[in-house]
Amino acid sequence: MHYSSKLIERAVEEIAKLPGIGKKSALRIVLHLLKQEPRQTHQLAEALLQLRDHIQYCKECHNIADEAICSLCSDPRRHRETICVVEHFKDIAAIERTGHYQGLYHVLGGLISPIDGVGPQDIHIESLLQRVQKHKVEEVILALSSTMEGDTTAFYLTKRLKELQVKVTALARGVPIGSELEFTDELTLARSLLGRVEF
Amino acid sequence: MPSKLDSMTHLKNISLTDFKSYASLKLSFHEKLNILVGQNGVGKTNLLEAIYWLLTGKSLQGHSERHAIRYGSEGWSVEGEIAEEERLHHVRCAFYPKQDRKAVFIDGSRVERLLDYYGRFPVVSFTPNDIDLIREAAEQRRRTMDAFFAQLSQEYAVHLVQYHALLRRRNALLKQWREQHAPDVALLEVFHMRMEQEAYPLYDLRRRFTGELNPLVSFYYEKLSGGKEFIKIEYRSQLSEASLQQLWQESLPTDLKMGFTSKGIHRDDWLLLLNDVPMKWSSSQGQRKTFLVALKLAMSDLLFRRKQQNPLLLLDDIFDKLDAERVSALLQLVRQQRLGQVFITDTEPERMQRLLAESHLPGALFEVKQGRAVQL
Repeated sequence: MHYSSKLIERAVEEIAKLPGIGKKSALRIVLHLLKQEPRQTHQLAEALLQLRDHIQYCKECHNIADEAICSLCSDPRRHRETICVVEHFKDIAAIERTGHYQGLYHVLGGLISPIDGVGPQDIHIESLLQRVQKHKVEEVILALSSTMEGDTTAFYLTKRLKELQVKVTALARGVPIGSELEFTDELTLARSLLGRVEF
Repeated sequence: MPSKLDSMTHLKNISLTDFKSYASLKLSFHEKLNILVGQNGVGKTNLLEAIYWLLTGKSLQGHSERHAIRYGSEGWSVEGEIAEEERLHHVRCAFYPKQDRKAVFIDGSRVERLLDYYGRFPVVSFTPNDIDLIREAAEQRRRTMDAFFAQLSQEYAVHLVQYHALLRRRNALLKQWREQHAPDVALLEVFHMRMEQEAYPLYDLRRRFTGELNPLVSFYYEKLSGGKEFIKIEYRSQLSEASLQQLWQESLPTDLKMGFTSKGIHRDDWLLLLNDVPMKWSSSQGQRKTFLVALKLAMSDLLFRRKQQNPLLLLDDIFDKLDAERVSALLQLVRQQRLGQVFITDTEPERMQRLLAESHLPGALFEVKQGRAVQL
């Protein structure tokens, strides 16, 4: 596409690099910003710069934070004897939305994936083991995806954590709430049968 | 009252779009026997390939989806109606790479996991390449047995897919460790534990299914050859001699050096014996072909026994190297209800017309020419 202004062209190109935004949408955003008060664009640019320059990863749990220690780890109301292990910080938001968890988190920042060359040393496993050893952690909850890589990581963590004599649990797996039994795939159904609970 | 044939699972018709040599083709099939005649290279095998894609979601010859796109077009689709007891299913298998992955639809709804579709409509095929089962290394036999057992049992299919996914990861680890640092024993143990959980059920099922297949192969071999010879398929696995843990412990130094897993269930083999001697060493071309046909008929029979559903039988270029006696014995077997619907290709229309007339078999004859096929 050719624009009458090099300035517009450059802005469009930069915005179009963002995920899910093509050139047309980028142009719409640029034109929108130009219609608004200059102050608004300045605020946006400022917010992005601040974000990029000042964002931190929590020294304890590797969650995204504004300070060296994230707001969850520094919250005195959280139960410190339970750690929930997740892959991404996005998973924390999902679990927090349930309102049923009061403990702390640990963000691995990835999963063990030999095919992608990601080994245990490439994700935050050592720091988890150290946390468990250093603090009086009673239970580690593994909240990882039910994929081959998620399972591999869960089994590996269990192996390493068992050496530290801490209780290791994992999220239950089964039939989704509100779904019809006949449409549940066989693997999930078999697993749900094995892990059935008293009603 | 419906006749017995009405309850047999069969493909009623098929419609191809931009599939291999066919721009567009519609055919209605006979419920029992369909014979496709035409010269070499006119597209008879392509038709069988289309039927196989439709029934299994996979390629008959292990080719990629791309391989089947007609030159110059964007993708292909094969659809058809399958009669199953009193019901008629509309099935479609399509591949348009610019828009989507390969997809299979039954009665309009998309199959989410193709693994669940494989084995839904059982099918057994015979192609000239099957002679490699006797001549070539273990891989061919494993592939054929796996493809067959996976149709017999969904449990087998799931374990097989999982085992191979884990194996690929173990091999990737071995490669990385070869290039970089010392192996992480805890991680290796995780893989061993999980691979064991998949391997032992596969081992048990392979033993069981091979055991069930053997008397059937003997039965059909005898029917085709008139007896006299003794046929046996023997399942061979390293797991019969040592546990997987032992095997992997012993082979770890070698595996680390080579960068792949040298032992395990993925090295299993089947020995094909004629009068207690491997066929590879001592059989004639006719014996080999008779054995392979017997094997396929036995597979078809076992599928019927286990699934109570008639598999379709695709026999590509089968009469080459079979003598007249064996051919007529085969056609007598086809007459049996439990062999289901059969598709046969041949290069000589006169021979097939004569055979049909002599055997009094109900069936349809199709002439295949470049990109076209018509019922005679």
